[in-house]
Amino acid sequence: MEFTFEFLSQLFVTSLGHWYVIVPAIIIGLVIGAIPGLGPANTLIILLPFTLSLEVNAAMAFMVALYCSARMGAGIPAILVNIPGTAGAAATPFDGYPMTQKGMAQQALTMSFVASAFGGLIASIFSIFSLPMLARVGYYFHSVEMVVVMLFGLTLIAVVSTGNTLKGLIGGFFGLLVGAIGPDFIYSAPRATFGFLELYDGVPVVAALIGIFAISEALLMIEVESILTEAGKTRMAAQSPWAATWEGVRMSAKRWWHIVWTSFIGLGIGVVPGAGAPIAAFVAYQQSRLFSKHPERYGTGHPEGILAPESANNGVTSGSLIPLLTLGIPGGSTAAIMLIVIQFHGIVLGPRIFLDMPQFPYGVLMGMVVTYLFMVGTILPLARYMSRVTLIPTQYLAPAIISFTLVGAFSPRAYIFDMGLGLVFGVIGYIARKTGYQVSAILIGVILGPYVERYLMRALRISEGDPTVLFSSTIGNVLWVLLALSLILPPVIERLRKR
Amino acid sequence: MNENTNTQEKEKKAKGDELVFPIMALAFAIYYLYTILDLNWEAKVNGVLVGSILIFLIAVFLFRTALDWQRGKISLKFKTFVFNSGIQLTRIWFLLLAVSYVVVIPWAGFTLTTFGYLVAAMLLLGVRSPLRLFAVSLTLSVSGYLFFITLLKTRLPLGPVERLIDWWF
Repeated sequence: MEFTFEFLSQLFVTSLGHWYVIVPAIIIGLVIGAIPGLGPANTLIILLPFTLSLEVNAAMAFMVALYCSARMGAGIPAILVNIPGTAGAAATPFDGYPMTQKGMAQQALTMSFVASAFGGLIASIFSIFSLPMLARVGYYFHSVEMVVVMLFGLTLIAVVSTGNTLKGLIGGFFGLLVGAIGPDFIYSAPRATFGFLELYDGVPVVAALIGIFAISEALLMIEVESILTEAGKTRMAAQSPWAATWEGVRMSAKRWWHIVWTSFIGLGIGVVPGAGAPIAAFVAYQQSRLFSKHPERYGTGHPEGILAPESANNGVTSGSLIPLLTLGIPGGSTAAIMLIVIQFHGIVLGPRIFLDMPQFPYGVLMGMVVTYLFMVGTILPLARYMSRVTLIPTQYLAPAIISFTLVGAFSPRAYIFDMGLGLVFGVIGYIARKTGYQVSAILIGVILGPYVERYLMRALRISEGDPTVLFSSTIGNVLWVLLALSLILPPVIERLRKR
Repeated sequence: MNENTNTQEKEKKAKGDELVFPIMALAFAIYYLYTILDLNWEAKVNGVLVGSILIFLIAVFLFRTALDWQRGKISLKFKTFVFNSGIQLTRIWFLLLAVSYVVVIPWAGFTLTTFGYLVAAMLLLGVRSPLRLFAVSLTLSVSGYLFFITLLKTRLPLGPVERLIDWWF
């Protein structure tokens, strides 16, 4: 294969030709991303008969566009009503929601769109040029390194998400233990199921997400008439319709370098199978705060607090497709569905694809580039209209959130039990929010719980039960040191700053 | 003297609420460890590791709270979870309505239950205009039907309304 300008421009034109599937996919993705419980994986399963009927390149363009826009859509409710559409957007409300309360929802949404689109665009362009190299990253991460990556991610979340590290860690480890409900990986012996058969498969993540974020937020929301503060209402009434969008664009453009480097964090973490968008978003948020001149502004509606997680979680999209395209290993559920469609069309993924059919993996990534370009033009104008959601009184908003998100909890497994479980998590989330335990740490713990156990078991079985295996790899040890530093440094820096 | 003590008491931060979450987490950790007592080590190891760290963290938190309480910096009174305020009662009714939504939906189906729930919840939260109650609830439940059931083919509980529409078309 010759990696020439002609080859790339040919791919670009071919991808542009798939506009007829990309544009509807962007719209569907935005909507399903914004509704907790309806992730891209569920939607792609529903739309499987449609994607299977398309020619393979068009089908991939459709799925990739839906995947990318769903990632972007998840930030919309996170900013507007403090409820992330997916766990990947769990760091976005830290600064997005305070901006909304100040009457700057339109600016916050615009920044989220710009960061998502350009973060994703930069990561996918870089992926095109470094695809074979990036594919090797996955080889260096085995079960030991993955255990440390997961614990490192959780620790970062605990440190970042609340002013009190101890409370953050309690929330995170509580989540990890909840995530370990259900069968173990060797004997399938049920653990801590409270006698419910429905928990024999483990805790459904969607019900946990909906309860911890949406139900608890609705329970809190009823205390006030509007989610906007008085100053926020005045600001919303005073600002001209399009000026706020431009202000958001200007705020993003001023911080362009921030979008660039956080997108690379997303790409790097996305390449590691299993790490995913939640960890990328929190790592980017933490790094952004660490290197900021004004770390005290984070959590109060600081623009960089929106740009960092949104750019990173869209950087993950191209990264997470790399193990699929180069090795045929799906990095997540959405990638697994893509693999089904690819196999249906008789394409065998693996290292030989670069010799036999190079236009396919590069074409998929080029489809992503085109999707992000389309997104910039189609979504930015919508910020103005979406921000109006904040004007709806909470007496209408809270019941609507409860009924529609509970339906989201039901849809993945079709168990009424999951709706009830969503309510239980809602009460836990409400207690946590009211008493200063960050709900993001709990949720990420629930998500990572099964992964931590799986990788830990693999490592221990390989070492025949020797726990020192966890300190046997160089990369793992470096990560352990970073984990320790992430716990020790913030209070030390805080004390030094106070002096 | 008495007044001084009262003022001091008022100045102390009420931290009783902050103990609810760790105690709940502690209870769960103990229950988890109890359920894995008789299992093989492979099924235990993760729970023991995570559970022990969680219990250790909670112990540190409780110890620090006890120290602050002993030094008179904080009180262990409850401030947030007091059930005599109007908003707490509304919240409990709001939650009970959500529970009844989950109980009724398998029989009445998505559309009818959502309509009924929205009317009741909005009424509870202070919407008094019958027209608004009816119009908003109807619009939302019908939109939900069209989006989730008709468009996305989501497997939602079906009731009389959905069956009637199916039969009709």
